[in-house]
Amino acid sequence: MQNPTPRQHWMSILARAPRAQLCALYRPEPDTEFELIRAPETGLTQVRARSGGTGAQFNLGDMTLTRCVVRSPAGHLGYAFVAGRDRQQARLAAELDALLQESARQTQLLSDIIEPLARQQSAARSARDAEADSTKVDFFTLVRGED
Amino acid sequence: MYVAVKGGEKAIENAHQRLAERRRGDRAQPELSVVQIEQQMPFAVARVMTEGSICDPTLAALAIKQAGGDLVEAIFLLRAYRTTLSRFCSSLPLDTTAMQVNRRISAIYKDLPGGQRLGPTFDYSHRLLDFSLMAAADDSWAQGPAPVGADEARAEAADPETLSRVLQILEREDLIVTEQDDGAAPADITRDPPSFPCNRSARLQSLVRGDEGFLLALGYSTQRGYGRNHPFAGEIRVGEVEVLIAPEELGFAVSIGDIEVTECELVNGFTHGADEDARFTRGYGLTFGYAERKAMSMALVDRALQADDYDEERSSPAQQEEFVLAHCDNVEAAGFVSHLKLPHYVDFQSELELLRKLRTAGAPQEIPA
Amino acid sequence: MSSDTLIRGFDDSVHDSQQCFRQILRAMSEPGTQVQLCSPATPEGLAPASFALCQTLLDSDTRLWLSPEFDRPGIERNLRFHCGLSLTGQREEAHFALARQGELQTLEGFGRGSPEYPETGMTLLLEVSLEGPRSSHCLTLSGPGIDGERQIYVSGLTGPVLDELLNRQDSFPQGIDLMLIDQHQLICIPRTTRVSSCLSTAATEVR
Repeated sequence: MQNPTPRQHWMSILARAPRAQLCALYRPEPDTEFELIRAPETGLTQVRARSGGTGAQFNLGDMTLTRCVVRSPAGHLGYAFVAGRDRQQARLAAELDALLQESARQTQLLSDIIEPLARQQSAARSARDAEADSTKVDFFTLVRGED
Repeated sequence: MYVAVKGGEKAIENAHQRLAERRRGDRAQPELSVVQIEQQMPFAVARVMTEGSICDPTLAALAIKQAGGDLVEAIFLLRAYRTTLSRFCSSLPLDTTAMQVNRRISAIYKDLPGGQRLGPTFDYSHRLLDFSLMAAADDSWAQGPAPVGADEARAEAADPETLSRVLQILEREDLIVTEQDDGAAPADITRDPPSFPCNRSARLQSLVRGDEGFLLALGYSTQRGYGRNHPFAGEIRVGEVEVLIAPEELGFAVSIGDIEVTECELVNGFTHGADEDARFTRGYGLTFGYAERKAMSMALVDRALQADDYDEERSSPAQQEEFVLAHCDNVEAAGFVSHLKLPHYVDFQSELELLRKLRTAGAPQEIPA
Repeated sequence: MSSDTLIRGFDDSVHDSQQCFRQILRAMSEPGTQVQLCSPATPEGLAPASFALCQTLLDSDTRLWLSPEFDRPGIERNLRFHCGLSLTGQREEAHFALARQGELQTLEGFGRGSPEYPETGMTLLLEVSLEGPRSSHCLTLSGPGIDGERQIYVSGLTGPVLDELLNRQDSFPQGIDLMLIDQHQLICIPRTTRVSSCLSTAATEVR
């Protein structure tokens, strides 16, 4: 995504954070009661692509997607749309999205949760890039001696 | 005509038990876990996801385990499961140009901007059986020396560039037909079965779900002269792309994660439009996971099916849209072939009687049409 | 909480909607039978049964027409959110329509299906009052799913709706299916049901 808003950024980080990581970084305070507007639910999203990568759209197939919406005590709606089928991950991501919208908590949550996750995800990405780059190839064309 | 039969419950139950045992094999051996299949059979997983039409490696691995490695059966299982899930939305179109590539090759330009990366590939392997894999828990590769050049590469990778598309080099010089985005909503063959002739979007969707072996054979047939279209592997990419959705209730796009895809762009023989300059044509293939053979086969057949667009004579099987698309789905095909195993006792009795009658009547033995 | 706030939907969308579906199926297959439909919360101005019904039957493939009474942000937003449905202002396009008693001055324009595709006929969700005989229309129902006759009391049906019920054109299998909703209650009158008025009896009772 190009030039994401702060909220788009944290939602994308949360969508990529496995449940174990979320649980390790985030413990809901016991007195925080979230209202479940849309219980965690797994379904599909049709994945679209473009012919030739840039042309007209076509449907490639489906992928699993889990969504959840909660309302925080402060009244913010927290949304989660995460690839895969982990309902607990979606629930935690939705709660965090709601809490992150509270300006009083945002800075703390960003530095405690979102930034560490973002660093991990970007490191994993760089490692994958490096692996691919190790197979970068320069082919030589040999002149065939036929003349 | 089908006639219901009753009974056999006990036998069927036992048959399922035998199947479970067959799948499990020798109980002295440790059982395969789903995560092992997901991690260690990535190519089987990719095929099942693509043709089963759900991108979810764990579900595909489970299907493979349950099917005892019968991939067509696994694809069937995944398709069946698909129908139990509701579809929340459609994604924004994938931006494969922004793919984080694990592999990217081109057979038309040696030195292309961004360079070629072989990635994990069977190409250049000698296809010799590696008996060291027979040793239990062989993890020698993990302790082996880092591949030469990996450190320099790691330093370079600090700022990963977006790799421009190879075919754009030709587009810039107007040497290839361009892919036009007409803005139309794509067809969805899972909701509206295709009617022929169908449009490119329905065609591509059918081909993604189509059987790899069938499409491979058809693609090969075009290379052998049955609908020749002079293909070059313009660019093949394997890597991760971001999936974005724009839920109505949010009012903005959100990223839900990354999926691995394989993309193949073919450059094909040129058109001879009467009032136009000659241009290369193109075929497109895209799959879930790492499925290069499938993506290439799809692109070959996609190009073959564009025969009408370029006033080519449709003389070969790969160019016949209805023939290709109506027969490429292996769940449909396997279903109809399998149904021959269902009781046809009454059907057969009538045939048998007819044959006996013909014999006894002593009449000229003409087989009725 | 403002009136267009999102409210909670079914707690367990799969099982709750299956239970509702079972009830709706019963109401449809035994016309005139009252069933109960529930959802944890309801948007302001909408009957709980209507909201449960929408969550059960409607999705992104069904188009809903909202009458002016229900065409409000709070209802619209929650229906869109929980059902993923698309709304339409065109009667011809609607698979379902939601209206309150007394609102519909005509049924003109709603789809009745075609002989080839009778299932595309519109289903009308009408919020009415189903309370007792007092000042109500008494309708006698008969036909498939009814052993003999069944009587229902419903108030505030407009002339065109009554006319549709009482003087159904002989156009089966085409037609409109009617779902009468009062708070948690649902009564269905599918297109197969024959309806006659027992107004005279009811009127006598009232006097």
